This record gives sequence, structure tokens and C-alpha cells, in this order.
Amino acid sequence: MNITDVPAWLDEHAVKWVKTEGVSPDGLVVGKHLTRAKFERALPLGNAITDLALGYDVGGTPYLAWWDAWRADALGDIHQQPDLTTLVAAPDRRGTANVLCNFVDRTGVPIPSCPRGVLQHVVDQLGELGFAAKAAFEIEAMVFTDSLPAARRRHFRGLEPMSTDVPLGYLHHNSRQQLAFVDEVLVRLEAIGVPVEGWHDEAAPAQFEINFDPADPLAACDHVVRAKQVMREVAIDQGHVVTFMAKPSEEYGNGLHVHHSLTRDGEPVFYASDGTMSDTTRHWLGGLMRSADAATSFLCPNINSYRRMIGFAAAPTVASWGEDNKSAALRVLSESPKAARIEYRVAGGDANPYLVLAVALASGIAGLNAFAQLPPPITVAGWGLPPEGYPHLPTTITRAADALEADRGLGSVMGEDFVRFWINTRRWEWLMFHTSGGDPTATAVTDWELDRYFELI
Amino acid sequence: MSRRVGSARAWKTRSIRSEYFIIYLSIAAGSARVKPLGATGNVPIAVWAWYATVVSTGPTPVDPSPAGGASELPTANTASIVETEADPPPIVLIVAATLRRAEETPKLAALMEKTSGTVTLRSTVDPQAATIRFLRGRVRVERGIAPDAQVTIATDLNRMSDEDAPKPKVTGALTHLRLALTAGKVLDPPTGTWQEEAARFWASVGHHPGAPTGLRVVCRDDHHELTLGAIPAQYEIHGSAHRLAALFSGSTVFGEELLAGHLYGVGSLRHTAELTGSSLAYMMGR
Repeated sequence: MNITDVPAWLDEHAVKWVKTEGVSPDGLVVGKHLTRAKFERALPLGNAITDLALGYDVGGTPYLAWWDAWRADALGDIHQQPDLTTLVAAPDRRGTANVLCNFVDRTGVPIPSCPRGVLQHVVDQLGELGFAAKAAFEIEAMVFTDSLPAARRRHFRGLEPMSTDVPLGYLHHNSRQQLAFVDEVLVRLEAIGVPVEGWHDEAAPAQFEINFDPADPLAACDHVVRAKQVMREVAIDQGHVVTFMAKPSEEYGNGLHVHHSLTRDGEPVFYASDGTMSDTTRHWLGGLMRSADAATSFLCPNINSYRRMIGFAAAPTVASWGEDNKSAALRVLSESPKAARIEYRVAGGDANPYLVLAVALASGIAGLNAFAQLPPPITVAGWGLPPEGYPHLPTTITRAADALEADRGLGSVMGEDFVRFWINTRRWEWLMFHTSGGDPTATAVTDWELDRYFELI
Repeated sequence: MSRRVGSARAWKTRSIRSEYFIIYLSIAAGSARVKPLGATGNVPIAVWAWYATVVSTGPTPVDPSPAGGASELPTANTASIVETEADPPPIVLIVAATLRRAEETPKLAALMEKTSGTVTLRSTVDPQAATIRFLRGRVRVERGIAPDAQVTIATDLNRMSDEDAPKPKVTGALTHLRLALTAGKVLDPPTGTWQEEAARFWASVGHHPGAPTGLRVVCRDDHHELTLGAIPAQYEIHGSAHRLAALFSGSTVFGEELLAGHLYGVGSLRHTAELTGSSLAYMMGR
């Protein structure tokens, strides 16, 4: 849709209000509710919004220990530039449309800290190399029968799972209990054009997983953002609560696996028709391996993320790749050369999908540019391995930030300003944990983590 | 209604003092009555420690070592005998930085060198704690409460900056007086005048990207002033001699002091934030 088509589209859908949706680095969806007239007047730049929209931590504290170059010297406005291809009629509010936006400055230049803009920047570079990518996410979430206010009062502990309490996956006994919730989610996703491939009960009590059809990178991430919003909205409407927190309890955690593949001129490039791995794949996968530690900062962005990264609990713990090895960080699926793809299995459910895919593609691009060498695959279980010969992924938010700071490939692809901003925000998150009540000696999820992440992340 | 930890509300209502703290331990003031060697006199001990981190565009962190790696020495002072655990929390970094500052005083360095024993600093209002192990020629700072600590200092972190702050509780000072005295001395290293400290601070942080090109400092006690860097200064800090010395010696955080009304700043938010980040980094010895 281009700008001249907007009035007719708004007429057709009887739109009176437009909800602008931008995604913060922490993955929070922020924006405004605009009258139709205001929305149209603001095109093509989009509505103004305070630059604090990208300057708060997830607890609501403004970042006040550095100042990014794109920010005004005091407080200023930036803009939410609508991506008109994402304009949809809200499935739950008559007369309202939703539109996803990128953050730009008053001249339309992308803000370096906008996650959707970072992904677009990476995808553009991939295109300059002659490649196109497809991606498909798998969202894991947990849904509880308690209402959101009741869950808040209990500090998100002791909630009633919408399933049996037994950690079994794929159990139709559980999915039956989740039907009323998931069915409404699916109806709304279909209405806004989010293509779902399937869903199933997952291993932790209350947990389920939704899989999406492969799509272009930006669209694949948009689908995740919209699906998470829809799940939150349905949960509220039905008096329940849902969470994407990486590790809300001692049960299995929530992941956000992403599959990706590359094409050149429409043809897949990962494997030849005879099943041999291409040089492109060797360098691409070599890049993913080389930046695995640094990428962990984006894939496991929060204090709580690292509680999920333990052995024998589904999440990978070693920087590794393997053929159809679900215990590896990077699972290569090459059985069908035309459908060959790489599944990156490190990200937690609390990760920002734009940054998850951006860092995956950026790692690959950096690998191509540097002709990165591919280490041998692991053919053993990826858990319980000694650190000698099996490099473990970072185990804390600070170690991951240090690894990102030391990485020499990602910044040039994702944007040096953005990477610096991100490192600062992760160190800030560490500071907030230690100085506002978090317990660094706790071996289980703390109240601090539940209060900060359960509802919003 | 639940209160979200680390929220903006908490930031405003508890002030930044809740995020960081000063320990002031005064055995003389009565939290622990010490009778050294049978005497009846009291022994004053002042302990200052601050919590914060580097969140600025500053230099490379001092702790890049892998998990389980050997202890690392600070990059700021390669001759230092003070080490920290790998991946240390803020309290450990702050305490270590304070001890390294104490090392600059020969008498305190000698004192640390020959001391043996374990001291724990513990918050009474949150889980923050650090343990200092004096190991005769080496000092190691670690997170947490050591079960083998001979001296423990416990304090209300949220009220340490208050005029009527409750006195910290000290346990073990009666049986380990020399260790308690040493801890008190090395955790309260001497500071210079506010002008001396400001010059030192500026030499350390003035070149950081984002820092103002010049800094004018005005003492509200006597109206003396000092300009560091380029003239005219892009930023001004006004305050009492005491508050200025505390800031520039790495004992307080600039943003906190502004919010609390202890200091005044004239300039952009950009420079306010950068100076806050720099003061955090300085406090951490980075």
C-alpha cells in the first residue's frame, strides 16, 4: 500500500482510530492512539513521540548514564514512521487499525536504536551481497488461569497452569484445556494476516508453542510481535495471564527458536542438489559460530534469560552446530537440500525477535565477508560437556555484553552506534538488578525477576 | 498492588540513594563499643563504599576473563595487590576501587600488605554484600557473605545518606580489633581538596566521547571556582566543598547528587548523563 491508497483503505474498513506500534529494544510495543485525521496528517513521517520511548529500561527508569548521538541535547521528539504494508484492521476493536512503525528522526533518517530499523539495515546489506533470506519463528509461552490483577498480587508465583501440572509435552489433554484461549488467538491472528503453521502443548506446565510459516525477515518478526500482542490481549479479555519470560519457574523455560535459509536469484544456496554443503554455507555458518558468544547478548537479553541456559533442559549451552542435533546452538536441517535451513535455538522467549534475526543474519554476513572457517559439528549431546574443546556460551548478562564488545564483526553490520547502545543497556540492566533488590546469590528465579519481566517482556 | 522493582517510581521516591549507598561506620558513635587492650576509649572507624557500574562509553571493562578463570588484576593499577572475582557485581567493583585508592597512600598500602583476615560488608535492606579477604600480600574481593568472616558490617543501605542514618552493626570487632581497624582505614582512603579531586577526575574522564569540552566547578561555600578543559565551559557543577570533593573523589554519583539536590548542574541532559556515567565509571575504578 502506498500513501495515496491510505484514505480509501481507511474508508473501506471504517477506521476512526489508528494505533501506532513501535518496538523498543526490550521488545515492548509502544505508540499512540491517533484519530484517523491526525494519522493521515502525520504521513509520511509519522507521529511524533518522545525520544524516551527508546530511552527507558523495562522497569521504567530512564537511562541516565550515557547519551546516544541521535538524542536531542535535552529531551526531544522522534517519529514513528508507519510501514503501510502492515496496516491492518484491529480484530478486537471495531473502527480501529493497527500499524507497525520504525523510529526515525524529524528528517526521516532511521534511529540507530530502533530494532526494526536495525533488522532492515541488515537485510539491506544481505541484499547487496545478492542474497535474500526467509525466516520462521517458534514462540513458546505459558498461560495461566489466574487473572492479571490476581497474578500481580501474587507477584506471579503459585499461578494455576492452564494444563496439568506434569511436565509433559504434546499432550492433547493439555491442549484441550488451552483451546478456548488458543482458538481465539488463532482467529485474531488470521484476521490480521499472521500465517500460523501449527501449535501444540509444550513440556512445561502451562506451556504451548505456536509455529509460523516462513516469511521475509521483517514480516517474520512482525508476525511474532503481533502474535505476542494478540496473546496478551486475549489473555486479558478472557481473565488469564500469559508470559514469554525465559524462565518464570524451575520448569522448562520459554524459547524463541528461529529457522532461516538463504536464496540467490530465488534458488536455495545452503546445499547443492547432491546434498553437499556449499562454501557459502561454510562461511555463513562459520560466522554464526564465530559470533555465537556475542550474539548471546541479544538472544538472552535479561538477567532471567540465563537461568534458562542450563544443561539437559532443552536450551543449548555450548557454542556448537550439528546436523539435526537439537542440543546444539545451531541445528542444521539439510535432509532436503531445497528446504535446507539453520535453526538458531539459543534465544529465550524474552528476546526481541527483530534483534534475534538481525544478529543471526549479521553473524552470517560477517562470516561471508571474513571467509570464516567452520569448526567441526558436534555429534554428541550438547549438554554436560567439559569446557575444554567445547566452548560454553556466556552465562551472565555481563559476560555476554563483554563478548559483544569484543566482537569485531557484528558492529559493522548491525551498526556501531546500535551495538554500543545495546551494550550500555545490558550493563544498565545488570546494575538495576544488583542495586534494586536482585539477589545475585539466588539459585532460583527471584521476585525481582518475576516483578520486572513476567508481565511485560 | 505490586510494586515493580527498579521502576521509575522507585527511582523518584527512594531517590538514587536507594540504588547506591554510603556506609558510614562509627564504632565511636556506639554501634559497637570497643575496648581495645582493656582500655575504655572508643576507636573511630569510617567506612565508605559505593555501588554502581560502568554504563558509559568508557574504556574496556577490567573483567573480561572467562568463567572460572584466574583472578584478574585491575588495569588501572598494575601494581595493585587488590583482585576481584570474575564477573563481579557492582558492590565488589566499588569496594575494590576504594581499596585500590587506599593503596596510593603508602601507610595504607603497607597495612593492607601485612593484614590477614576476612571482612564482610552486608546490606540490611537488600541482598548486596561483599567480602574482603586480606591474604598477607594480596587482597581479594568477592560477592556475598563469607561464612568465615571474622568481622561483619551490616547497614541499612536506603538510609545511609540521611543525616540521622542508623549506625551500622558491626560484629567481630571485639575479637578482631586490628582487622576491624584496618578495614575501616582502607575503606576510607584520604581525599584531597575539591580542586585536587576535580583535576584528577577530569584527567580521568574529560577525554571520554560525549564529555563536555570544558567543566566549570563552583564552590557555593566560598565562591571559588575552577575551570577544567576548554573555555567557555560547556557544563557547570555547583555545590559545597564537601559535596564537590565527594563527587570528584568517586564517592558519589553525579546524577544522584543532582536528584537529591546536593549539587547543581548547568548544561544539557546529554552532558548530565555523560558525567553521570563517567562518575559511575570513576567510582568503579574503570
